[in-house]
Parts: sequence; structure tokens; C-alpha cells
Amino acid sequence: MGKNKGKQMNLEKQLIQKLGQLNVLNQDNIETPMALLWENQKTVLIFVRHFG
Amino acid sequence: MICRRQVVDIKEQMETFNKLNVRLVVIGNGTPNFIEGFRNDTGYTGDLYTDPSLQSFQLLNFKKSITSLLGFKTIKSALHALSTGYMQKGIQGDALQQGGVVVIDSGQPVYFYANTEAGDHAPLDEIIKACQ
Repeated sequence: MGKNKGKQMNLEKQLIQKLGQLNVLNQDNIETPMALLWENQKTVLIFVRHFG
Repeated sequence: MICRRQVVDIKEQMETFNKLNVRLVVIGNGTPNFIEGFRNDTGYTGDLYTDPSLQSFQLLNFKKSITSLLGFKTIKSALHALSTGYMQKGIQGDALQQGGVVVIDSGQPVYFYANTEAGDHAPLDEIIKACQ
């Protein structure tokens, strides 16, 4: 786990599994299971506050 | 403006992430119809999704409060975003919801950063280091 200046939390693999069961939407309003986002390669998920 | 500035900063390191064979995914929380405008504003052409339900943000325990909008970093980042041409165009999502970064390798979390306030972001060099 990297050194963080923000709020640090030790994420468990189980939490990532739960995250993978959630869906996100693309611009056409189509749902994608989050697990598909990282199934094939190392992935950086950047959660932004809003699209402002 | 702050969020778009963050994505522009990341976009500028796209080649580095490509060389590392790392996939970048940006997830917002506004409605899907704002995605195209966000792409146009930032020039980001990579994966872009949204979670208006905020379930993923909540699961990761990302902060949600009014005080997270009022800190020093927020003001500093807003000034930086303004000085580089990123005016906020309005809120397309939950303004009180903070974000963060998770790096996942083979289903395992290898890096996690939860923003403490608007304008606080995971340092890019830390993200890149986690990807190496």
C-alpha cells in the first residue's frame, strides 16, 4: 500500500471483490460491472467528485 | 474546475501509463449525459464512467461533507485551476462527495488514496510508483 497524505485505509481484497459487483454507467447509460474494468490488466481507478 | 484539472494532469501522463501497460479509468458521479462534455473540456479520451448511485464511493468510504469543500487545499487548487483556464461550469454530480484513487493489480488493491477535501488529490508520482 502506498504512502498517503490523504485518508489512508488498508483495503482488503474482499472489498475489491464487493466493488467489482457494483455497476458503473457509460455515456450511453449502459451498465458495466466494475470487475470488468480491472480483469485484464493493472488498473488505476480515479474517482472524481463530479464532472464540473 | 478542480476535478477537470486533475484529469488533465493525469491525461498528460497517459503515455507513461501506456508504457506500464496500465489501464486508466475515470469514474464520476454525475448523470451519464455530462460525460461527453467532460471529455470535450479535458481532452481525456480514455475510459470514463459514472456512478450516480454513489455506491462505489460509499463502499470505499470516500468522504462526504460540507467541510471538505472549505479547506486551504481547496482554495489553493481552485486558484491553480483558474490560473490554468479551468473555470467551474457548474456541478454535475454531488458537490459534497469527495473522490480518490485505487490501483488494482490482479484483483488486489496495491494503492489507495481518499481525498480529504476538494483540491486534495493523490500525487501523480505516487500513482505511477504504485503501477511500476
